[in-house]
Amino acid sequence: MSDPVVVCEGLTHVYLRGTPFESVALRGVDLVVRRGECLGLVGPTGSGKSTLVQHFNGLLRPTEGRVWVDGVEIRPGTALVREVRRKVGLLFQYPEHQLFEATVFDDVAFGPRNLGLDPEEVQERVRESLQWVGLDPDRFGPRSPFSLSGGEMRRVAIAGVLAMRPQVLVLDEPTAGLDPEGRREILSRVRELHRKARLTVVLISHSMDDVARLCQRVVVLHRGQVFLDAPVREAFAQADRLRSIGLDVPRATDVLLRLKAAGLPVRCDRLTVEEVCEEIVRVLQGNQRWSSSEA
Amino acid sequence: MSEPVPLIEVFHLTHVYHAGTPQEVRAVHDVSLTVHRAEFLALVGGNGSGKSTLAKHLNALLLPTEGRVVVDGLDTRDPQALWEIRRKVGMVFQNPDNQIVATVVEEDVAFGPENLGLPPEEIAQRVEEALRAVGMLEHRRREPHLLSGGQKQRVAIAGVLAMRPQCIVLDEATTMLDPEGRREVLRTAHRLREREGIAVVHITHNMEEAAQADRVVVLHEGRVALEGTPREVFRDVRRLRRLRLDLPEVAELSGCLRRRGIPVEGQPLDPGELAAQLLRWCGVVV
Repeated sequence: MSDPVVVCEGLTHVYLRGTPFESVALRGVDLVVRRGECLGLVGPTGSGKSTLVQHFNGLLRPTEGRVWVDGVEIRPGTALVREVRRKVGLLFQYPEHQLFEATVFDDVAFGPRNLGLDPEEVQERVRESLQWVGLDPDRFGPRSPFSLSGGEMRRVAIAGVLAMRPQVLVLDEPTAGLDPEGRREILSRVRELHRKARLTVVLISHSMDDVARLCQRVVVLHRGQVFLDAPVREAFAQADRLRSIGLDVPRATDVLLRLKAAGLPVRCDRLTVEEVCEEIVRVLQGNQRWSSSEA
Repeated sequence: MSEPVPLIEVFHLTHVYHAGTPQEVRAVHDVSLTVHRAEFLALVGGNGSGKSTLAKHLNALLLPTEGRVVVDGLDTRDPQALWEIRRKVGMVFQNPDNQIVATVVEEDVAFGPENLGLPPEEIAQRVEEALRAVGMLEHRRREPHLLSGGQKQRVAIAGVLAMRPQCIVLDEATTMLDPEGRREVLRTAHRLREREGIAVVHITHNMEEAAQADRVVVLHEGRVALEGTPREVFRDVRRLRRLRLDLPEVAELSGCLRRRGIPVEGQPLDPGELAAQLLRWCGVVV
């Protein structure tokens, strides 16, 4: 088991404490993100997902409890936050709304320039980051970000985060609002960043299909608490629990759950269409009646 | 089902943005389309396929560059008919936080009818009916910003309903919602179609949602590329991929099973439907 890179212990966050608008966003969350893993973070709107990840890079400080990032504790009033922010790259929802420079190159270069890096280093980081998201630096670098498609703009925003060379990449709903093609492109880039660039990835998503395809482990938040923390297969086999808080299971997995409910000996920890297909074929071939009708 | 009656007719519609400038873009190209009364029509297509541009013609938010759009007998190019058309066809947009104007739910819903100059009793009655129809009556005195995304969208739908429309256009109105919020909004739209006979045009990237429609129209590069019932449209995997779309997961699974020699019949689009078929083959009575 690899070492922890983010640790939350008894993390509670209260917004506007002591005012009539006080609201508890997180209560007593214990969570470990391990180096090199791809973790899915899911939960209904208002369950505390965004609040939680903003603690990972010091944008928010705990009201109670403790948070460590790469061994460094985040506390109010410490000077270490800048260092922490560099280690954890956070991509917000609809990040294309935050693009602002005249060219794609300048937009991606914004962070590294602020670090005071020399121009060659900036140039190298921008090229590398654009290549990671599948945009040719020579072709896209000089273009205006606003001339790009929705999916391309989002990849530019991801490149901007990568240019800071983070260890942990947190993506908040990276596929929301994209068409299926744009969504596939983003997901395959994230998979590559995880597998080849060996980034630790935290994926916040409403899409159980995205989580099923990408992540090994899933943490489900509900009303500011950890509702479920399990390997992805085990989590989706607990369909009733997920549905009780308004979440979905992948539709293909749903077919297996129905076969099982009718008494067929299927395993329900199958997630992708191919896996589910394989499982159905296995069970049907073992079924006397089907085999005999085939013969 | 009785013979479909046309409600909105789009004849050879072309829309060009920034015509005559270097930024000229032909977003919709020679599209002809009919929306029938009380039908649930899904409009799908990749980013940039022209879906939103087409939708904005349905209630005269945009006017045709060429061709014409007729809503219940009214031509959208006729300035005299504009308000009547907007009353007949209401739109709900993507971002739940951008379309609520008042500080109390019922006042927000009353906004449209008040602008019609209706008597107060009539307004109160319409607001109550509209909020009941979307299941939000109990929240009538709440502040909109305290509602969930799905609830906000249902308030936006109520605002449209209070105008007694004949068609509601959901322009990616479920995109920013969580699964529960999506279900709430879709359930509401389906119920309005069944009970009130209101036509629904649902623009979405979500193929599972499109699979629940009566009819699906696929746009690609500003033209109608495919049109039919969900079963017809989701039959051709390769074609859909070329059009930058996905299959609903159950349709994809059915295709996979067929390739492995399991003769899945028809085109199941729902997990229950496919499971029932598989169980029948196994001799399990369902």
